[in-house]
Amino acid sequence: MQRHHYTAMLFLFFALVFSAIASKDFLSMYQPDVLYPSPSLTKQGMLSDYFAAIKGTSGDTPVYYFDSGNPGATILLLGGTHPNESAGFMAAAVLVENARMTKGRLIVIPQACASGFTATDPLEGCPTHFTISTKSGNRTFRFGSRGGNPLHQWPDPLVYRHFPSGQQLSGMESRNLNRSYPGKADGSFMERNGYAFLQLIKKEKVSIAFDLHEAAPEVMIINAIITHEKGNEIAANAVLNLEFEDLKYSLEISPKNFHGLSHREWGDSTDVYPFLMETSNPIQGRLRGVTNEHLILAGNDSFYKTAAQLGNVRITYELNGEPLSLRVARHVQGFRTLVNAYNEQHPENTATVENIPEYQAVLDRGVGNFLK
Amino acid sequence: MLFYLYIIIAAVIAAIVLTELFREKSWRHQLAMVIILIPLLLRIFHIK
Amino acid sequence: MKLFRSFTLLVLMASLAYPLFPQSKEKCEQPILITSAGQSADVTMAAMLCKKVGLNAKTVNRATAADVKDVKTVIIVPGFSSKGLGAAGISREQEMDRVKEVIAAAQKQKMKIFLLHIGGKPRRGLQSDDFNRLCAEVSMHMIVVKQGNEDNFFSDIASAKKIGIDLVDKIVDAAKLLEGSFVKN
Repeated sequence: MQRHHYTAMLFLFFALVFSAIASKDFLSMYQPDVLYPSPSLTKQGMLSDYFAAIKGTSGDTPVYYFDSGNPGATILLLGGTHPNESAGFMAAAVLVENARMTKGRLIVIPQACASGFTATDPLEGCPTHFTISTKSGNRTFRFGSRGGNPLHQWPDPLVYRHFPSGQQLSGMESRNLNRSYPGKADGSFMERNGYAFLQLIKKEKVSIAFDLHEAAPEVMIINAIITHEKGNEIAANAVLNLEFEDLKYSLEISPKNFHGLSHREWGDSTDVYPFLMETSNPIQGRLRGVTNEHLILAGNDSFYKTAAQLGNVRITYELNGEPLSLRVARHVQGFRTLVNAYNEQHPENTATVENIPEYQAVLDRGVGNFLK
Repeated sequence: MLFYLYIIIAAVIAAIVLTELFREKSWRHQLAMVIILIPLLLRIFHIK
Repeated sequence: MKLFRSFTLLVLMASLAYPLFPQSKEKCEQPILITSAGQSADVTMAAMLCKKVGLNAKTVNRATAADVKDVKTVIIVPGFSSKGLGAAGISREQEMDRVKEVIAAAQKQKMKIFLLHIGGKPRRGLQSDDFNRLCAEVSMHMIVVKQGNEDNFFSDIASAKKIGIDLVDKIVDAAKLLEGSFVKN
């Protein structure tokens, strides 16, 4: 053995130690988040119940059913389509842990893109978890990536061709659940997941469906409700009603020629009224500074504050920040108001969700107060 | 299919880097090689 | 002399009192055409407001000159929406041309144009303001949600062009104003 063999072994040892330390961190993201459903839960299943091909894969995810036992509309709510948009996931979690149905059914999938919860986006320096103080103590939840984990679908193509429209998008969008609909039974990992969601909507005869999102403060469409043209009047009614409560939402109609998104494909392929909601989340923005757990929870960032004060760029950012409590409160209130607007328009097929926290209560007492 | 092909490519590159690591006499180059090796190992073992 | 003094005093008082009692706002007639300028979904809410107060209005998001024929007033709801244009499958330029065509047709028929800007901040900015300005300058009256006029964009146009403007806090506040702006059928 020569001297350089010893240095090679020493460096290799250090490389393995570093790899082991990093691996521990990366693998911690495979530990599932625990939710404690409300006593009204009637069944818990998996997405693969609707499409067996995804059973046992990283795309399979828990489905929570709340059935009132009284006939009525079926509501579907998805959180975590983009696992780095925490308010969507947490709003769904709040519903799972509190909702009670007195008419119709509610189906909640808090972590729609289960694969995306097992990794963070490269080069973004995002935390892997965040902790919320709840009634029973601290609870930790994962902060994932916008798309699925590249380990579950790799490599990304140069150009992603959406099925069946043939629309071309950037290659990385091939791992984006919200570009995968209506999906393909024998397609890629994400297309199969998209297909499973469509099967659920069809099999359960879902009447009204929600997909909860967040966006960077500089994104044009924010604090908005986006819907298929058939949901136009329901959404317009909801926007007016939300305005009564001093909540400003803009209404957007899903472009007919922009394919793969829930508000377009769910509406085109099924009878459901789809609604997608967006809130302002600084951790996704390009102007942000320190990227840590505090930014997820408090949503305040000095660079965004300066930008908002200067007013030179069009951003949606409150000077006190966009805390998780505000973002979750908006989602929960938007959900409640849209369901009411749907009920008004469809008195023959309504759904009643009870025990959903009030907007002001979530804002004042924090999300943790509504988690077990 | 393409996925496993890429994993094989990563494994081959890792093997080449490992072989070169023991042939290389400059410790600076060896250091650069192990840095290259880390992401390859993490991908081959499906960790990241 | 006494008569002259009394007359001067009367004229002076009348001129001082004038701003306190402005001429009542000229009312518009029905039926109404509601159309968008920029294809934002605010047009749906404008239609709901009209429906709420019982105005006889038809909504055509992409109205053309032909749609202007059977109505007496055009309500334009300006505000750019990339999703809305995408939904309509048209470009910004095509939309601009269409709006100009509608305005020209309305003006040719000496029809009143009413502006309703209810989208607030999201319907302001570079992309929206071309539509906002174009429609505001040709309107006979504007109802604007205050959040969209924080920089006095609409009120400046209103004072420069001597156009009536009502600023409201909320979209729903526009309903009563709309009702009062039209002659009852």
